[in-house]
Parts: sequence; structure tokens; C-alpha cells
Amino acid sequence: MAQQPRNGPYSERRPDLARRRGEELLIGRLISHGRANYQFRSDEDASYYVKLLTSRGPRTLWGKDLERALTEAETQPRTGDLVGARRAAREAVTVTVKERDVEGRVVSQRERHAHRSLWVVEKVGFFAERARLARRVRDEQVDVREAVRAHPELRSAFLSVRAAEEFAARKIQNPGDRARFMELIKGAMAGSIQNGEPLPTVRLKTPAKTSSPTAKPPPEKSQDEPTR
Amino acid sequence: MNRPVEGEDEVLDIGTVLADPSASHWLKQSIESALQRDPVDALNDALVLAAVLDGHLRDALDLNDSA
Repeated sequence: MAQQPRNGPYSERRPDLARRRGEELLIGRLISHGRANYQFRSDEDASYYVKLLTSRGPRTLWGKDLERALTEAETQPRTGDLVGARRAAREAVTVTVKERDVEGRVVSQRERHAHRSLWVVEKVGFFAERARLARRVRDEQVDVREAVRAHPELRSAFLSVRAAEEFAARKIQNPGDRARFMELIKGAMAGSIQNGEPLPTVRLKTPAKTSSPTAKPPPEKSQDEPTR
Repeated sequence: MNRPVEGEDEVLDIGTVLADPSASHWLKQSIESALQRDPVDALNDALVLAAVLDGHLRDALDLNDSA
């Protein structure tokens, strides 16, 4: 005879975590993905779906940006891989809302402002690495030279933090305000790194064009300068 | 309203998984062991196992920080 199903202690033991799991990073086995009409309905607009088998069962994500997220993914997830999917940002778009009669014919349409989710879909290890990098940026005690040596990909992030520190030192008199400002800067930078957004790159200033034949050539790069 | 029509997904039936050379030995053993049990209990436990392992992965990879 079957035992009674066991629930209670196992369900929603960590509701805060459960909420974050839903909103922040969805983890699951990539079952399938592709272009399809939204919700697989022929009368809906073209969209893109990603179907994941999560610990809570199958979940289907919808969004036109999911195709880009998978195509441009650093880790190039494939069907069967354990992946994470996260809404990284939203962008404003204008969508056409179609109103239909009972037989599905379009009777009117109007434009409306909406937001499109921008996704990051990568193999799960990618998010672990980003979480590690984000902690490095948040860590106030980190030695910048050591950190850049260990994580050259974070060079730009550390330089931005250093620039913000110099700005704060010059412009913000109150030490408490200065500390809060730096906390916000580091938090925002770490947040976007952890979200999976592209790591910032250092942009070199383009030397001003000159017609003078006697103009000095640009100085050679020091070892500290990034190469592209 | 038209009925939704889904694309074909990866088929996850018992025979397919047991015959899949890329499926782990642990997974195949677990399936064979679960088939000996009451199916309600087996699925109930498997769902708990999936939830526990989800949490374990997030802890192990430190993915629990909110972004």
C-alpha cells in the first residue's frame, strides 16, 4: 500500500530563496528551444521559446530576445545541458496590440509602449564564475593590482571603481556620503557582472587626427595598457 | 481561439533514458531502483531530491546572492 505523500517540511522551507529562484536565476536542463508563435498559438505574434526541465517541473520561457541570448551565449548551451536563465534588463519597445473577434479575425489594432526582457542564457557554470567575479568587485579589501593580475577581465571594472573613488575624494566632502556613494557604485557594477551582462571593456582614446607631418608618433604602449 | 501546438521535445521515457549512452550510471541505477518502488512514493521522493539538489547546486556554486 502506498504511503501518505510527504509534504510539510520539504515545501517552501526557504521562501525567500524560492522567490529569488523564480525571479533571479532559473536553473534547468535545456529541453528545447526555437521560434514559435507566442504560447504556440497560431493567432499570436512570432516569438521565441526556451523550455527547461527545472526541479519544479517543465518551464517554458517566452521572449524574442531569447534567440539572441542563446545565439550570442558565451558558453553556447546545447539541448541536454544544465543552464541558467535570467532576465538581465528590460528595454522599451512599441508593440502592436491586435483585437480579434470570436473567430480570430483582427478587428482593430493599436500601438502601445511596453518593455521587452533582455535575457542571459548560459551553462550554469557561467553564473558561478560571474558570482565569483562580482564578489571580487564588491570586496573592499581587495588589492587592485593583485586582483587585476588574477582577473585581467575585471581590469575595466576595477579602473572604474578607482575612477569613482577619485571622483568621490574630490567632489564629496562628507566621509559618510563618500562611503555610501562607493557602496552604490560597487554594488551596481557587481550586480551587472553577476547578472551576466557583458563585462565592460576598456576603451582607448582615439588619437586626434593631425595633418602635421612633424607630429610625434603616439608613445609606445606600456605593459599596463590593454591590447585589442 | 486556436489550440496551442507545441514543437517536438526530447522524449524522456524510461526506455530512452536507460538506452542513452550519455546518461550517467547513477541516473540509470536510480531509475531501475525507483521502478521497484511504489510509483507515488518514487516520484514524490524524486521531486524532493530534485529540489534538494537544486539548492545544493546553488550553495555549491554560490549562486544564492541576489544580483
